[in-house]
Amino acid sequence: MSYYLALIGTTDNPIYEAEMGTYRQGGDGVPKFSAEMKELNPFIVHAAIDIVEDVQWRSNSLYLKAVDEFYGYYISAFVTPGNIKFLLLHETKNDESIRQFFNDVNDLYVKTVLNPFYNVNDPITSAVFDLKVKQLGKKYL
Amino acid sequence: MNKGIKASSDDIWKNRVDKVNAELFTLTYGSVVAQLVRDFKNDYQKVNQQLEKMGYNIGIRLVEDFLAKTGTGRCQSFKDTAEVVSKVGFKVFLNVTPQVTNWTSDGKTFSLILDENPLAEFVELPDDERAKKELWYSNVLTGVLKGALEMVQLEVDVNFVSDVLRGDDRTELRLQLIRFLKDEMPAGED
Amino acid sequence: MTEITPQVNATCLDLLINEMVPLAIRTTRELKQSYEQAIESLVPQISIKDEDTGDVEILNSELLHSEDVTHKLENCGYSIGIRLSEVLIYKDSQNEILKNLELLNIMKFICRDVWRELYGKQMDNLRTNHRGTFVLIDNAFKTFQRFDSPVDLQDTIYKCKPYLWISSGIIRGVLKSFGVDSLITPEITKFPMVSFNIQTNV
Repeated sequence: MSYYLALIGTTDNPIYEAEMGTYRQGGDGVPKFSAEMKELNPFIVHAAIDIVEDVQWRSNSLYLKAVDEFYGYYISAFVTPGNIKFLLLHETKNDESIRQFFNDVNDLYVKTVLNPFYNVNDPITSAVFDLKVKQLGKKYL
Repeated sequence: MNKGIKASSDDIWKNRVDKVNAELFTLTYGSVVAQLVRDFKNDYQKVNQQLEKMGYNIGIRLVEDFLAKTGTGRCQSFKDTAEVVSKVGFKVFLNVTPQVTNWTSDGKTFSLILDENPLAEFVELPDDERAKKELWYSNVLTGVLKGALEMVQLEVDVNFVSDVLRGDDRTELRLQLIRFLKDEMPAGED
Repeated sequence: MTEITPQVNATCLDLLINEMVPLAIRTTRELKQSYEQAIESLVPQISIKDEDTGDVEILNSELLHSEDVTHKLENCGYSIGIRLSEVLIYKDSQNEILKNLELLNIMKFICRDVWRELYGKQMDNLRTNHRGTFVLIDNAFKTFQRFDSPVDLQDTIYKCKPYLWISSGIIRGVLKSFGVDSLITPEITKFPMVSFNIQTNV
């Protein structure tokens, strides 16, 4: 199975994105999106932003679970108090592991913000961040 | 003797020091460095200089607080000084104890190895390659040490030689004794 | 989260903050100097001496209240504020602020949690016109307790003011971390009492 993660800044600007594959059920960790899906991913996620904004005001929680569905793909969302959106495109529902995944990505995100040379809303270019996100994907997804 | 130093500085840290959460200190220092990098448009030599200068000004004040709190007397030798800097100075202010090592045979130069560095928590240097070659992020420490030691009549040259932030495998400060400033008035006093 | 937060000696933070104003003045001086050299100015060199030995003489600089210095200090504060907010929420995921992100609640978060972290006390007063303007009042601003000019109170106040921009920037940063843009005017009402006038509908 394949996953696509995007972090969206406060002006709907993408600040980080990654494709991940699963290691479960004999997966080899390589994402297997079709060429077509690869191109569509950012658009699907972007389209979900409005829905997230709708849902987030009705929720007390940072984790919004699956907010949208698209041709058999689910989109789950997590919104930080600073209104940075984490969106994950996935094929099967698994609220609990995705919640843990988001929580840990949030830990990494907070540490990124604490870096004095990182400005909120800038693209996250740190290789360490990328590596750790992928490790979390391996752990939870 | 060393054991005595450590025990009493642990006690001072625990009972006689007002403390703040390290994050606040780390963030404040980070804001200063980032601002300097912006102001000097990534001229890292200038940033290093300003950090050292700032550190010097902190050092000459810090030492008074240090002497008052610890009641440390005059050091008998530069070797003693090294121990006091690490086990009392760093301990009482930053709650870390760098290793004292790499003495030269003349006993005038040694290294402090900072396994933990509260200044650099959360920090990743800017992406450009020059930052990793030129910026000494924690350079305020060189100034603090120079300033503080000058106030106890030691002229010392202090430099970073490596930093984990640059990808080095450890963070190392080198201190070299230039001379004892005997019978001279300390700077800033009439 | 039960892990003990690492701590440092409060003197380190105090001395660091004390030095932020002289640093901003030195930086401004140096930048002006190199700018003037760069354009080979015909203007006679204003005395740009840097023989300061770290004493408080530098606070007599004509740059003390200059826009450049103010801007640098406010900017540092902003950088601290935006991050401090993240830390506080991260460390206390049960914080009430997360249950209700209304503006008034964010202000209370600043008065309570942020101020306590910074100064070990809460803000003394919070007023609002309920139309986006808030006034936060601290009856005894802690940073000022360290300052006492040998000249007179007037001089003390004059030299303290720049430090207020750091706190002002911190408040702006915290607000921004919740997506709120603001314009903040700090004021020394009656030393050491300070107030921050915050407009959020900017």
